[in-house]
Amino acid sequence: MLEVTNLCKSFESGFWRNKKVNAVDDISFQICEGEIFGLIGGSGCGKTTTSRMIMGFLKPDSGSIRYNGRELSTMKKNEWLKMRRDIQIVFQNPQMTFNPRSTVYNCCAEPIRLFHLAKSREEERSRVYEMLDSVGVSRDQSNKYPHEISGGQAQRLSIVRALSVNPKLLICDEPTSMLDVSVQAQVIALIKEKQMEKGISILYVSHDLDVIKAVCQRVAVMNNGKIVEMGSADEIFNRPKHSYTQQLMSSAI
Amino acid sequence: MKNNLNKVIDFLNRKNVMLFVGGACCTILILVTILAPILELHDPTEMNLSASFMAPCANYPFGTDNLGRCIYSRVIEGSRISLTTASIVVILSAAIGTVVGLIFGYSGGITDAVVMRIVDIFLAFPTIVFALAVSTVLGTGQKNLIIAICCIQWTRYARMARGEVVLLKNAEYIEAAKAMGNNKFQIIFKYLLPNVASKILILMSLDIGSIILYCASLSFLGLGAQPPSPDWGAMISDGKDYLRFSPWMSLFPGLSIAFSALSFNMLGDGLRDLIDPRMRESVNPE
Repeated sequence: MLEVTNLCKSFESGFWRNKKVNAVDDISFQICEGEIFGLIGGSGCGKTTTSRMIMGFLKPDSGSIRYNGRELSTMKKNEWLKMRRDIQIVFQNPQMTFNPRSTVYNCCAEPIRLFHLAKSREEERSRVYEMLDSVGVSRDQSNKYPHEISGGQAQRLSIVRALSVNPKLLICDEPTSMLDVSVQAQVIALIKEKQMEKGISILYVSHDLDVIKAVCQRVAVMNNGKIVEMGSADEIFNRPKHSYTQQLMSSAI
Repeated sequence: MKNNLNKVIDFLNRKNVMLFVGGACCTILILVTILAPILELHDPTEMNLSASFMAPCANYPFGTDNLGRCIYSRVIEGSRISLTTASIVVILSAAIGTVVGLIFGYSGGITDAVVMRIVDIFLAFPTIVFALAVSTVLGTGQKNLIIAICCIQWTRYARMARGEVVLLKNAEYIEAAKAMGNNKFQIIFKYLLPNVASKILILMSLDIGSIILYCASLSFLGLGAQPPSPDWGAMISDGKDYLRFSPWMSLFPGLSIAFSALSFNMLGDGLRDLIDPRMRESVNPE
């Protein structure tokens, strides 16, 4: 479904642009239909760069990203706009995901408006309330501003908001790292439940081993911009081959 | 009673005084502008040569000028000219500048760099000199005065809006908006504009004061409203020849320029402190 091959991205820095950091260095992986694929790695190993390139926010230096046979990395902006329905993303910081100047209701209604999913105001309203109900956020809270609701609520809303356009691929960029443990469990349960319900594919990016273990079927381990090991979750967690993976496993408490 | 006193002190400490005094003065000014026909004692353009150079008295509270026109009525009528000119200039230049700043700031790249250098060139000119040059090309008159000041003033808004957008455009929620399928213009007008609007409003209220001054100085030089319409700057200019024996001719229009510029500046300062607490000096360093 999503096929990433030989993807490279480097950033230049320094006064004369003489320092070069290979953020993502020649990585390849595939995500199949209905699969949750995990990408683990320490801070600064290129996980987020990868997800940003898949979303089209960054242009890769070389390599290709193919989604159902279509090349994403060279796609035009207006083609991307149509593509957004198929690929959605959940960000790390739940409160920063929403426009601070608009109410929770308007934030949730936005994808419905953008893709003309509702024919009337009433239908839009009922769909938004459905979204709120499905994650246990009370309807009175729809008139609040994003900073007035809790992080867990905001993150659950951002997940159902992303799913409201029925995407085929969801990218979760560390969706639980800003939340406390009890809320993490709720968010993970929500992601798993929605995945079962709709059969979407998920690219789950995280540095949290336990979360990845609980969610993913296949896992890739990244270090310094390279994928050092890839395999089923069972293989990676129980029989890690690469030294970095072993080190990562042993560093977990 | 004591409680009330504490409240007042607390209130003064929070430095909102500026906002309230400025707001009150501006309200008075706007009321005067609206109620001008009621407040005027005489027709502001009516000449009465037998009553020229009269010192302030009961009939003519601010005295009369060389042609026997009532200064008080002319000052009040002049507020209409000054305030409408200033607000048209501010609204026009804010609209142009904000749109330019938002679009080029968001797009970035070479066009942004080129446009911002043009803005820099405009900002480097002293406003009065540039406005004089523009007025010379376009000719005198109220409309050309407005165009001349707008030509310079929009750049301030463009800079401000661009600076804010460059800060905001990498925010996560802008990226989220992109991911959700908003196009460039939806992001600019739905996301960036509301987040920039408060800053622009503050700049607008701060600007009105200086624009009133610019208008007055340009019409003092004879570029703005033409006689007999009672413009403050032109009135000062008329009075300068008679300054030695009838100073009221220039004094009262001058005072009203000072008053209006001051009150709009206070309003702007107060608003800035209210909305942007980083700019506020700390008064209570507990």
